[in-house]
Amino acid sequence: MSAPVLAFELIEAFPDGRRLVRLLDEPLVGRRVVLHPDPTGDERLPHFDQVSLLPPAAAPRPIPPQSAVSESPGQRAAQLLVSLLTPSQRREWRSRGCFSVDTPYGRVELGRMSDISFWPTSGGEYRLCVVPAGSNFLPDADIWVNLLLVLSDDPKRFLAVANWRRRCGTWHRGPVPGLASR
Amino acid sequence: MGVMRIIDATGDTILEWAPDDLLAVARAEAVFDDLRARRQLAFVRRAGESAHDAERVASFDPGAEEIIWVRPIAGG
Repeated sequence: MSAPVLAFELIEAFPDGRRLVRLLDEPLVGRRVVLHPDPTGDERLPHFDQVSLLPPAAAPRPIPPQSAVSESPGQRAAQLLVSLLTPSQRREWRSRGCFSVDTPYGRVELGRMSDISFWPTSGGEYRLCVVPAGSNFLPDADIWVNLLLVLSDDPKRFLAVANWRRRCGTWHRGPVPGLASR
Repeated sequence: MGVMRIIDATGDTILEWAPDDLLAVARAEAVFDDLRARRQLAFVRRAGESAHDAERVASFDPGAEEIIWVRPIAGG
């Protein structure tokens, strides 16, 4: 026996294919539900087994796409960056405009674009260049937010993709020498 | 209240939700899945935690306090 068919009106379509709708039939008239994409491709009408019911009471609370702020993009990015730093990193950032991140592979100093310092645990010093995709449109502090989070999570990956040079050398594609052996 | 920060040219775009507001949660989850599909990277942290304590996540948790979205990296 097939599930009963429901009449509805669309409120909002989500990028993943789900749809928020308002039901028009008794006994659920007025209820808001989320419709999940029908795996059979039948897009005509939803069935009970396709929906997850939302509570009837609470009216949707509008969510602004972006908070109302007066700060500049750079200020907003700087606030986020500072909130992600440890107290010692904050001191470095405020005094020198750079901050250190210790990894199992050595110390990385973030804060100079295209000139990231790296001191491997095995000795020596390299300069690195690593950027987030599409970073041309990001405030500088957001670039450091991006690199800080990725470096803290997966330093091996960070050092594998980094372009590098010795202090007075020419640039090479990653990975940084000696990384694979660690 | 959970908050999603998506870094962009404005500094970051913010999306907020209350865990008991199912509509807001559905919206936030849809945004999460869309960004994941575009290979962006999500990190969760609790209030006051540094990047060192942030955790990379692959699925949306309505109970998360803060989700920060960043981009994949490459050699510059």
